[in-house]
Amino acid sequence: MTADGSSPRRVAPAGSALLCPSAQPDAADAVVIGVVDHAASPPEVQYLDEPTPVTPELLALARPVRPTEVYRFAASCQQGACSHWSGHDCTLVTRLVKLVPVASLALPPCRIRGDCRWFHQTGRDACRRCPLVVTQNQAPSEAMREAAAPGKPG
Amino acid sequence: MAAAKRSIVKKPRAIRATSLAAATTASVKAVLKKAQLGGGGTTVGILLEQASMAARGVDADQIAKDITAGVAAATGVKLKPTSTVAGGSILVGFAPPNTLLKPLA
Repeated sequence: MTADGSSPRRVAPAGSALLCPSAQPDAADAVVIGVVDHAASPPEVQYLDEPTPVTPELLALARPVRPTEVYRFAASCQQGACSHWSGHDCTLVTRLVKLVPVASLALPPCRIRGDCRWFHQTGRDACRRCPLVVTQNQAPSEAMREAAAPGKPG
Repeated sequence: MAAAKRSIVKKPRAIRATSLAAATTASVKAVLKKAQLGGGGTTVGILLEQASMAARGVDADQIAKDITAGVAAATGVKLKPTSTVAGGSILVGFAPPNTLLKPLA
């Protein structure tokens, strides 16, 4: 049971890899999990009540900006294909938890929590910061910039 | 202070998937507004796909530094490096001030 009163539901097929909650839309199994509210300061993700499959029409809605600026996508963790992968876990979420302040003490109403790489690795500490993560951020905070830099120890 | 405290304990609510189009439109408008105010670089940027570059043995971070130094030397414009948070394909871009368009035009 999560803080928003719902049980995490499995989005990924049984037996599949955990989901990256900040994925690229071109991943085969990518779904939209939230929309970034850029009117907020700092921008904050509004989570969808149901993950929505990525379609060309959905991506077109984001024009002329990049989809990764306005949507948050989830897709299977790419592990070794991702520069944040240490060989056994995601260093990005480790840095996020270490460097980025919490967005809210209440957990966001996220529907992929049961399959989320970040949640499985760092628990609620990741969820409390996740709303502040904009996949492609043109004006990141200093903490977010540092957390996003691959290759640095978490 | 009290307002800040309230905001950090507020219970976020999910938006309906059926409202996705409206939420997207609002988000895009806000991004474009920030860009018009000089707060963003949505129309100009250099994106380095780090994962694939790393697979080819290329250090994207070093390439980014070289580009920044090269542009600064040639135009006097200091690019603002922009980190991105992404899984799978990692991007590092630059969000130069809109004035960059003028010296290069």
